[in-house]
Amino acid sequence: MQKTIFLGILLLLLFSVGVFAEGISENSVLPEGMPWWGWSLLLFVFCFVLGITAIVAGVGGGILYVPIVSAVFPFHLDFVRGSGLLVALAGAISAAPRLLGSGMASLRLALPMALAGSIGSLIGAHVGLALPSHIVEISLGAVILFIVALMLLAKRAEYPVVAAASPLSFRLGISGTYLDGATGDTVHWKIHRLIPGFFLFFVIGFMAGMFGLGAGWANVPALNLLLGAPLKVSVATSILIIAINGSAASWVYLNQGAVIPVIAVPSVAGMMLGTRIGAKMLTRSRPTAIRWVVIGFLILAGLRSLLAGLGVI
Amino acid sequence: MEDDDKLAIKWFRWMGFGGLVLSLLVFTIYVTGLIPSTVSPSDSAELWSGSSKEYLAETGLAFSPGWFRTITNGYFLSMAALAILASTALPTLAALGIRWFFRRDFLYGSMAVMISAVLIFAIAGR
Repeated sequence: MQKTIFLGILLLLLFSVGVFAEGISENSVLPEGMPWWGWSLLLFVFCFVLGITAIVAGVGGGILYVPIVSAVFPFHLDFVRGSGLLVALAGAISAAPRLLGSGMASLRLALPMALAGSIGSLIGAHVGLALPSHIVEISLGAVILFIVALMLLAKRAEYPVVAAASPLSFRLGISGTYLDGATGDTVHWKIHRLIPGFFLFFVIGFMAGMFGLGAGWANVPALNLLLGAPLKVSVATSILIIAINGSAASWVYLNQGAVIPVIAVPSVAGMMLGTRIGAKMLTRSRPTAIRWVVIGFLILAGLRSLLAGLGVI
Repeated sequence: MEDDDKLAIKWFRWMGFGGLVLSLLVFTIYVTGLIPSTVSPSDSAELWSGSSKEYLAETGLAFSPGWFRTITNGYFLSMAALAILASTALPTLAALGIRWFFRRDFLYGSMAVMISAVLIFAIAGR
């Protein structure tokens, strides 16, 4: 039912942009020669492909959106970051109910981390919008290249060994049980190192807010390797954390004029549709090859951002 | 599934799906020009290569101060729909916070209230 409504409205939107918009934008042709609705449609198609690619490559849409859209489209980085946050947020919100229902995402684990992360993302968004564009571009390039290194080097533990839960996590009741569909086993988990994790999530939130990147790339290793949550719990809880943290940062961008509907809505719609279709294509695709293509794109986008910030290109 | 999870699922579904559908619907109305707008899509396009500060200086307020002005202006209506999507976490956490306080789970209740306060701070433009 929900899928039908979503698709119906999406088709209506595409039809409207293509047919009606031409009439009201006769004088709106950009210097590049394309009218605004052309860019919006192109952005929708681009984000649709990006959504499929992100799922098949096993990365979040937010991490691909900001570096690649800022490299390809003529939008200022402020608007790309604002839309990037909404893209990550919309994806997380639509996935959160299913993950909570399956018992993989833990509210009790997400909440302390989301508290630190939401404060961090609020401050990060303000700092990101206050800094000069070239500084943000240099930092973004460096962060993207760091993320690529993280993707290539970071190890993941399916079931990390936690000898004893930390006293604070024990007091907060952060533990759980879930049925692993792949093995059929019931997995019991607990966590440790809650206080270092709290500070790390503040830093992750700050970076996510500053660059509009979503934060799955950092949340998952932090939950899995530092706190000791099983990999599936880490992935699911990370999405829940993004659904909370993204909200604070998105509002900063909304209030400061860094969200434009003609960029944000086609991006969110394209990415949502792409990720749904990507999930269906997952069984027939070759994720390893696509993952390498994505890593290649991210390296190029990171280098471009770094060089553009330095004034080289 | 715990009751807390069910409550969060309910709010995420209502606000998230509602915000998303509303964003698409209102955007359609906005780009077709069915409701007049202070900032037309072509105005936005002329300014999107400049910074957000320049955009805001040219176009005025990010949000309308009045609900009547919002529903009669395609641009503000479109922004309001995106704002609903961006606000999904607030009622979810507020509902969870109230439940935890009633259950005398003050630690989690306080955390939910603190995150809600951060979100209200962000919404207020601080």
